[in-house]
This record gives sequence, structure tokens and C-alpha cells, in this order.
Amino acid sequence: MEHWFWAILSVLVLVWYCVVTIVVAFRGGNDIKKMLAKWKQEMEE
Amino acid sequence: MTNFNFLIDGGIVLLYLIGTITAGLWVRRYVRNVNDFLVAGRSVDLYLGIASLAATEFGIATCMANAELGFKYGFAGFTPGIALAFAMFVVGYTGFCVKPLRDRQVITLPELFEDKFGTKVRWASGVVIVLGGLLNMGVFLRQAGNFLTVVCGFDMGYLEIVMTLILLGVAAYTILGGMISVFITDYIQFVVMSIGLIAVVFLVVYQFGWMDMLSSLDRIRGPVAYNPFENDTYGLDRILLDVLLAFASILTWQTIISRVLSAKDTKTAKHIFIGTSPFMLVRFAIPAILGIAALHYFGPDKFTDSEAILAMPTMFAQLLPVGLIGIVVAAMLAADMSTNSSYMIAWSSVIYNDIMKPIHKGLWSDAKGLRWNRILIALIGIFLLLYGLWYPLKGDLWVYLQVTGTIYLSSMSVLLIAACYWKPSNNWGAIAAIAIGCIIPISYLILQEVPVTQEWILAIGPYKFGAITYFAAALAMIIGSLIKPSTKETN
Repeated sequence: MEHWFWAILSVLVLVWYCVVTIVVAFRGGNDIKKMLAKWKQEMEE
Repeated sequence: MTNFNFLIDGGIVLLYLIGTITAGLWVRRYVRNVNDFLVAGRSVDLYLGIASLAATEFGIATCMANAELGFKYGFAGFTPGIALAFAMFVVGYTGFCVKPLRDRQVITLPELFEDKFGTKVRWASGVVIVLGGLLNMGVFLRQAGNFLTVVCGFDMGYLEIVMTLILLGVAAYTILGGMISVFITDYIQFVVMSIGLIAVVFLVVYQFGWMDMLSSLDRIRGPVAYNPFENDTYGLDRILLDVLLAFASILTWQTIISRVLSAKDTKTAKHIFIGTSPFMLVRFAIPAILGIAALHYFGPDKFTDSEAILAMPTMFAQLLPVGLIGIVVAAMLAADMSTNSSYMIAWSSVIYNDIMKPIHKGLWSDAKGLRWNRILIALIGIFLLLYGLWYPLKGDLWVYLQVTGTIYLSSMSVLLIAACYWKPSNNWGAIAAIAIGCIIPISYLILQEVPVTQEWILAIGPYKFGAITYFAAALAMIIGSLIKPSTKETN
């Protein structure tokens, strides 16, 4: 019983981490682009 | 013996280092004032916030400490991660303390305390935060040096040189670009670190077989490896400390709170916490699985209790093929650099914003403020190097991190909750809580080094000491606040 609990938890952790890495890699890059564009505009003003 | 190839793996590591340091240096042009330097102009959005928080809270020291937990306690080593994930989700979902904190637009916690408890409490809080934070961070560099020395197969005589080079690389972009560079490099480091960690876990599980790893764990550690309550091996007192520490660190640890304060609004800050909460479990689970794999690979006798921390890096050195070992070293360097840069800027922000407040009174020009922040980061770097070389770590690394963290987490969490939600709290209670929160853990660190008291201290153990500190600090706040004569209002 305890073996299954830890096995399921470990699988969930790994799956979540894989998905979040991909999502954050793409959307975090977009966040950076937007943030730098905003600062650039502020500096030009 | 290591599979690290200086041409191929060294090339991968060098490529990563050049990329991340160049990015960190490139964005320094956007730093215009102290606000940009310390909280990135409060412009950080959700996904960048998650990447940065996750990368900051996962360093080589954390990875080695948590792998050690897996090696010694099996799956019971997940316990602090479960507590942290739960605490971060609850705080993010409810906005408990973080909402009033973000709404106030402060840079540090002590700044919030000034309104409620006065300037002296702000200053004392700053001192306690920096003391606890720097002692906590003091062992990071040596652990990173140990990891790289073992995995890359350097002679141990080169440990100090490796430590210095890591520090110089991080200090270069942190000093010039502040929090803006930290966020950009954290993003790169999150991606590199995650690819390396995921790859190595899949390889290890594929190579050893999940069921074979569990069989070894059953044979060597028995049922205690699956149940932290069993036979008191992990222990109720340790679980209690894990839970207290989880809530306190989520609420008050400056590197975590600085992400809330850098978020573009309160809603984003709460979502960053909710989105990052599962990573708090990942942070323990992945190293613990690697620790269990190392136990399966080496057996229980190859490493003594104090050497168990080296089991995971030694396994990496012997098991990982050329190419992958370079990616893993780059990943671990990424984890460590993001942690070091965030920690350096977190403590320097408290020193400048709170401890030095009586000197600059908020009147210095941006140029002078930036110059001083950069000097402070450089001084913190020098301290880290000296402390890392001098302090001989005894016992579990995670225990050391818990005890030193408790120096400020116990009192600061009490002050924060009281400042936000308990109207009768005042400066007497705050000072009493700070004093108690400091005295108990520092006494533990000193008395465990004194031969006469060593046995007595070890019999009580660090967990009871840690847990008692939280309750004692809360009690001190209540008693101190209630005994202050009501005629003299200081709020």
C-alpha cells in the first residue's frame, strides 16, 4: 500500500515537473519579452 | 573515478556559463534606480515569477541535502517537501499575510514592521534577518564546491579555487544588473536545471529499475523508509518542525517574499505562490529519488553517516555517460548560481533598506544607493567565501539549514502575523519575540560545539530545539505585548 502511494506521488511529481518546464519555458520567455519592451519604452520616454 | 570529459562535458558547461553570464550582463542597461535594482521595477509576470522562485529555491546545497534525506530515510525524506507545498498553496490561495504585504508596496519585511512596531524593531528585524540568512547561506558555496569536485573529478585541493570561481561568476552579473539580471538568468537557469534533473532521474530509474530500487530500500531501511511516523526514525518532533518551518519560510524568507514584492500586482503574487507550490515537493522528491538510487547503487556501508551527502554526486560521477554528465553539471551550476545570486541580493536589500536606514534616511541619490547596494553584494560574496572555507559542517545539512533559518523565521513569522492580524501587538512583544527567536537556535549552534554540553544538546536534538523556538517566540510576542502599559501608545 505504502509502496503504491509513493510510486504514484513520484510519478505525479515527475509528470507535473515535465509539463511545467515546457509551459514555463515558453510563457516565461514571453514574459521577459514583454517586460524588456516595457522598460525600453519607459527609457525612451 | 569520474566519466567527466573535460573536452565534451567541459565544453557544455562553458557554453552554459558564457550564455547565462552574457544574458545577465546584457540586461544591466535597464537598471535606472534602486527600485529596479532590488525589485526589478515591480514588473514581473506570472511565468517568469514561477521560473525565478523555483530556480532560487533549488540550489546544489538543497539538492545534496535532500538527496541525503532520501539516502538516509527513503521516501520519508519527502516530508519537508509535502509540508512546504501545502503551506505555499494555502498561503497563495488565501493570500494570508502576502496580500497585506504586497498591497503595502514595501521592499522588505522590516519596512512593513516599522509602521506597527517602530523604527528600532525595523532595525533589529533587519539584523536578525541578515544574521540568520547569511549563516544559512554560508554553507552553500562549500557544498557546491564539494559537488563539482566529486563529479568533475578535481583533486580536493582545488576545492577553494572551484568555490571562488563559482562566486565570481555569480557576483559579476548580480552586482551589475541586480534583480533584473537575477530574473533573466533565473529563467535560463530554471530551464537548464529542469532539463538536467528530469534527464538524470529518467536515466537512473531506467538503469536501476524502479522495483529493484524499492527492493533495496526495503532490505536496507525497512518500513521506516515509507512511513515517517514509523519507529520514530524520522520522528514526530522533526515533522512538527518541518510544518512550522514550511509556513514560516513561505511567509517570511526574504528570497521567497522578494518574488511577491516584485510581482506586478497582488493577484499575480498569489498566483505565483499557487503555481510554484508543487515545485516545493519536486525540490525534495527528485533529489530524494536520486538519494534512494544512490543507496541502491552503493549499499549502506560505502558512506558513513557524515559522508552520506556525497553519495549522490559520487553516483553521478560513476554512472552518467559523457555528454549527460556535462548537462547535469551545467544544470547543477544553474541551480546554484540562481540561488546564490538571489540570496546575495535578498540580504543586501535588507542591509541597505533596513539596517542602513538610520544612515541614509532614504535621502541618498539613486546613483549613491546603487553604488552601496553593489558594494554590499560584493561584501556578502567575500563573507560567503570566508565562512564556506572556515565552517566545518556537522550532522545533516538540512538540519543545519533548518536551525540557522529558525534564527529569523521563528520571530519574523510571529511579527508578520501579529502586524497583519493582531491589533494589540506592540514593540515590546516584537522585541521579546526577536530576542527569544535568536537566543534559542544560536545557543544550540554554540553548545553543540562545547565538549561539556555536547552530549546534553545532542540528547535533546535540533528538532525539539527548533520547534520550541517557534512557540516560545509566539508566547514572547503575546506576553510582551500584554505587559506593556497601555497608556503609552507606540503603534
